[in-house]
Amino acid sequence: MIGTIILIAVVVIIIGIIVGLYNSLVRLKNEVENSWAQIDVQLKRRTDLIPNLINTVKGYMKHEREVLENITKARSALVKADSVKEKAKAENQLENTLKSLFAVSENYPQLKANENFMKLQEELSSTENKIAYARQHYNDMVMYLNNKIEQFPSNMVASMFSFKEKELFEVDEKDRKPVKVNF
Amino acid sequence: MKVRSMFQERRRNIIMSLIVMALFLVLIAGLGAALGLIYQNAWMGAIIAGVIFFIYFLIIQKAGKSAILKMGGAIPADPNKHQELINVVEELSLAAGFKNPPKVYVIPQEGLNAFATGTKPNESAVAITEGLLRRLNRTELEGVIAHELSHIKNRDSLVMLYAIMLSGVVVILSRILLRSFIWGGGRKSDNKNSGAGVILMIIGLLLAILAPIFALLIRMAISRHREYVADANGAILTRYPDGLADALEKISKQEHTIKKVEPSVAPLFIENPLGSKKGFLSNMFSTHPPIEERIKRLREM
Repeated sequence: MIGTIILIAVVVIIIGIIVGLYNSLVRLKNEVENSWAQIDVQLKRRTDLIPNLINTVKGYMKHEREVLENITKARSALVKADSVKEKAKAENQLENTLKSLFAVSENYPQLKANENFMKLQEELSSTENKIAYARQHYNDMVMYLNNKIEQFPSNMVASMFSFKEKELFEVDEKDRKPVKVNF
Repeated sequence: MKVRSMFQERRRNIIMSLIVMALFLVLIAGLGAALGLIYQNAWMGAIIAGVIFFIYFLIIQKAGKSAILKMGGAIPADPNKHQELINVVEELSLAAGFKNPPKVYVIPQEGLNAFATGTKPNESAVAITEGLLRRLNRTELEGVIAHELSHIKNRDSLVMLYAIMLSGVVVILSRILLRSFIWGGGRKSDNKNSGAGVILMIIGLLLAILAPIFALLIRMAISRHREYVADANGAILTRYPDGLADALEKISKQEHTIKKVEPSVAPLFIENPLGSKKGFLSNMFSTHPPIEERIKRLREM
């Protein structure tokens, strides 16, 4: 009698633990997916801002065709990119080309005084920060999920329900170098 | 590890707010019972107080945030004038993983301060004085906002919201109770007086005197340690603790504290708006840890 009660109690506790671990894995997986969507929203926001920026800048920067072309190229690479890795790479390239554009714009006082340009600059740099912060949150969540998938005892539940580890939104060192600007 | 500790902070605070509510329920029911005792019916008093508590709790849930914003004198931020502030709040909300950023408010005063309130991230608000907004650069502003968002993320703002609104009730109830003793005392002595009744009356009287002090202490005990936690978690969001440290240094050098702030909302602010005095008593009743200690801890991160 007592034996069966203990047995039932042990089974109930084990099921309870499994349910708890499973639910926390699901919650984290959703959190990762949601934070990925947040990065995507910001990336899209920026790709939408770039045609505006180029239109504003074009009239002033007659001699910087290369810079503008680089931006357009990086932008279309980002639009085409699909996986986390590709997006991270394209994102980084775009960031670098934009940096060189804003560096070059120092040579054009009239452009710098343009109200439209100033607004775009604030908006782009804010979007830049948003991408960085969304990426930070995404990576935190991915790390936390991956830890859970690897660590005991949640790894058993994870493999039972085939939870997959997610990719970090990382930047290769070689992509991090600034794009050369020819003056 | 950092992420895990944040989840734990939130869980701790949700449990904490349940405890705060249970404590207040007991306290309020006790006051109600003592109040009922005057009319020979302690149970009735406790039940009525419980019902009032429940209704009040529903009101807090719905309107607590806007009540606190009003008490703090905050008005909604203007996108034309405060674009940078709104951007910073939106940026750091992404870092904190909020689905929607909190509403942004400014307090049209010169004092240097900021606070956050709300029951959950989607239902919350941050407010900052115009004086502070003007004096901070962007990284310092990011530090301050990250600190406030950490309060929301950790649900400190939830605990504080309950604590502030509920301790208000205790104060009102105990005032009614004290007054009833003064006015109803004469009538009571006409009835036959048992020894137990007298003891209960004394307990009730003690409760009435102690309740506001008790409520105050709970509120302060909740908030002091939370400031360090919010500083640390804010640094996790910005990954730059010196931003907040610089901002706190500017705040600590201010001459004027905010005027027209209700003492009951003081624990909400990033730095005690009523000004801080030195000494044992002020330390025990202080809502905030010493600012120098906070700066030191941030610099060491």
